[in-house]
Amino acid sequence: MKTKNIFLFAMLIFVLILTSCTEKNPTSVGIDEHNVLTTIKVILKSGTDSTFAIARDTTKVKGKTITEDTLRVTSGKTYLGEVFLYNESVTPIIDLSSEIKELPNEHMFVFSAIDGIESRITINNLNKDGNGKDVGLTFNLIISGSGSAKGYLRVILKHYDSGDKTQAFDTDGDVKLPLIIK
Amino acid sequence: MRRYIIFLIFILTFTQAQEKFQLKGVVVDSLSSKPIENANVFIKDLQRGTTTSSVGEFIIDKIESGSYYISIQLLGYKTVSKKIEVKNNLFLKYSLEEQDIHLGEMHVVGEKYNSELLGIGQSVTTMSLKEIEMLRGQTVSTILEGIPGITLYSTGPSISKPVIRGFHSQRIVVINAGVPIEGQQWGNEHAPEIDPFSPTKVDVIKGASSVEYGNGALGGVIKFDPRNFRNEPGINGTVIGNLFSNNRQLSGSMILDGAFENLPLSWQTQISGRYAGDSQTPEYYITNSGFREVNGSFGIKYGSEDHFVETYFSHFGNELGIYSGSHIGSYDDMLRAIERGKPEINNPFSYEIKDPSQKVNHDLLSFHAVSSELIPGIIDFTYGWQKNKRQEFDGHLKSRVIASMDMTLTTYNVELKYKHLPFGLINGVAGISGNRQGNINEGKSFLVPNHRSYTSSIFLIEQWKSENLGVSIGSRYSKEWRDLYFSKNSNLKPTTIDYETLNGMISLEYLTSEQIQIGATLSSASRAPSANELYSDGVHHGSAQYEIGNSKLHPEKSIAGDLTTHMNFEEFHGELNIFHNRISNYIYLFPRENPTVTITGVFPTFEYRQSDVTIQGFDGSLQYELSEKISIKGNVGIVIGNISNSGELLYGMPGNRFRISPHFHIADFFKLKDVSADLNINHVQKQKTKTSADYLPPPNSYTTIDLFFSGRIETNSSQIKIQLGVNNLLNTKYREHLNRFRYFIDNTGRDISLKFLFTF
Repeated sequence: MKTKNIFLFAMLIFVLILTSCTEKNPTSVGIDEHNVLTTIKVILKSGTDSTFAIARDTTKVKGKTITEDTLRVTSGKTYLGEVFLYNESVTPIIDLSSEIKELPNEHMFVFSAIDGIESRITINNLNKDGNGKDVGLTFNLIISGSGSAKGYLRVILKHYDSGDKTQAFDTDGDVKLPLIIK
Repeated sequence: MRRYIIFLIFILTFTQAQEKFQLKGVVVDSLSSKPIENANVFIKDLQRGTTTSSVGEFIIDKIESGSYYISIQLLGYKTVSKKIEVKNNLFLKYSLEEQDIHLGEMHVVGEKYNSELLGIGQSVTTMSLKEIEMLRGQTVSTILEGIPGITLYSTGPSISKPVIRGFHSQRIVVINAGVPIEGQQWGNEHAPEIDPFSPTKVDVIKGASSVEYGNGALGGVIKFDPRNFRNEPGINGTVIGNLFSNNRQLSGSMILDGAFENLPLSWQTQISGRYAGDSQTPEYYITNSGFREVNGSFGIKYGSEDHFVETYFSHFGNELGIYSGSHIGSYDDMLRAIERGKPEINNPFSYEIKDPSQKVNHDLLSFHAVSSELIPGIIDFTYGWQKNKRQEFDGHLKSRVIASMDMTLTTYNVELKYKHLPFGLINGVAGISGNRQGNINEGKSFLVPNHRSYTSSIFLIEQWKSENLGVSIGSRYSKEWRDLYFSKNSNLKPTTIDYETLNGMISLEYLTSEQIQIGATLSSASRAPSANELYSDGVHHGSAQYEIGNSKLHPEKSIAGDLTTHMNFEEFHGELNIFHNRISNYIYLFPRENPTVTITGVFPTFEYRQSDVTIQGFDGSLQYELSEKISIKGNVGIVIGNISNSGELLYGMPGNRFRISPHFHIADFFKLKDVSADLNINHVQKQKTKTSADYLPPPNSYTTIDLFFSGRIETNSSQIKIQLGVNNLLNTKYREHLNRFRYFIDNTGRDISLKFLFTF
């Protein structure tokens, strides 16, 4: 009698357990990689003269990044620069520059000319957020001096928790784009 | 044969002819000196015994001269075992010391119904409720810190995982309510999902235990047991409250246990909560290091002691902030954070949790049936279901909507064990177990591939145990199949891999006398490479390194030898262990010469490699009773890991650890009974690892001091225990090698705690 009771009780619990648990089947997933930055593109324009370069994460998952094309600029000219950010890991491609336009207080681009062209290039006039702090989706790039030179334009995208852009930041992007001065 | 019989008869006649004596005595309570009724008095060597009368007296007649061990036992008192010389009639007086009331442990499960053979010949540390209840601290792992050979691997003040002799995560097995916890082993910042208030007993097996506990138990096993069910009809309960000054933590738990009068049905329930803000180092607050936790459990048991079914459900829910200064987007961020060495801004204390943060929910359901009535022997069946949901949110505002990492790990376990009836001196357990696990990613980044795995194993352990010698031999065969599904963005196609493992162990135990017990174990264990070791290809969050998996990795295989000695003399007792572990194909990260260029900059790059390594060491503890009031305990834990062919020291091993703990039993203080003071002096030596790839050299050695005062108040039906404690009494500034935040900030400073426990 006792054995039978226990057996029934066990069955009841067991059935309850089995019916209460469900599990999804794992499959290959295209997870919502909404915020993943895969591509940074810089375009420089001066009148009708236009040049661009791209840094692209070929793995699309924060992996190895290669650069395509070269920024070719001329001494003495002032260029209007513009940065575009994309997430190319999803279809259709997401324009992440618009997110920075939406949240300008959290982001700031820092530009620098490196590897031999430091003295030849001045970058200023970055566009500002509501607090008057730099954002840098657009900027001016001025070439001075003479002679041809080769180097890189380094673009860092800083991400801040608070709006005053003085605290510690996370780096959302950091690329070196090849640049040639004619 | 006949010769033996004649010899036996001769011996028997000879002993029969010997003179016989009477043994008389009285058993009293050590505190009140009142006689104790119904205590068991037993002479083990003669297999004879009796119980004490209403005036505490006992008589055992007809004892031949000789020396014997006599033991006096009664539930609720500490067992006394003494050696006696019988040459004439004896009168003995024994006083029994009261044991602290063991919550919920109203009954003792006899050897007969216990289907486990906890590794003889291995170092097993069991912590009772009395030890655990006052050690509950900032995490469940802190309970274990006092065990020699155990260290903590932590990520800041609120996340810590246990390390057994240098092994952690996927190389150890953590069991809660009879089911191996699946979730804690995945990453460095994934701590075991267990309510710190729920365990009432912890067993720590140091050393490989794959035969009993399956693959993964390469370095050892930690078993957390919830309360036993109440046996006698009625209801009892406990209320626990803890306060900590360092992170201004408030936490508490409520427990109710009951059993019915006319039905063999018992139940238990528990609800706990913890609420903490920012922790503080001696110099600053660790901003965004608070946490909240709500846990609950419920269980019912139906049946008698040797024929029952029980089911247990528990929920663990936790949300915690991650110190934002440790959140690294690029290698340059890492270098800047290291250079700063402290938070950029001294923020004031706050309970607020901001991103980066993590949310973890773990549900566990276990079903357990034991019967010794169905067939001869004991059948023990366990079924477990658990779901681990982990969400991590990075610092980006938009990520609040979609977690940057969101994984759901569902695991089913089934195990059937059969313990056969003793065959002479031979006992044994045979078992078969199965496990199914599935992992689903829903976040926006992909840490490990989705997978579905099946493991099945079969094992057998036989044990021969005489009065002073025990031998056990066991073996387990396992096979694992794993289906892997990768992100659609990767070039990898779904694939199936399988692993087959065969492990064995042989263990010896020898009691040289009542006081000294020696054990030796030789065991093998293995572990299949995990998904991230095989397939990771990306930046590891938080450590600022690019990690590359190796799909050709083989399972790790370890052969370990353990030698353990237990001493139990009147004034001193202790345990000394030596271990030597050779692991072939040990998987670890090796730095690559060329860094990886990513969209967020350049990262130092590591790849998973395999080498043969040796991990060996020594740990133990000795306790010496200077007087009735003062005792002193010393702990030591030393682990040395080397890569076999190069001799290079293994990265990530704990520094040598020493602890001296004097205990002072002060006195009764008005209504406060058993007032005592405990001091811990902890010293951790600088780790000698030389790894060129590390960002900073190992931190310096440090010494910290903890001080605790405790006492209890008793009334007729209830008891209150109180403890006032201070961890890191001198507010020492230090960094611990096995704390991943050691690159950025100091360890926490002084922490004053007030704990009370009310039992009714």
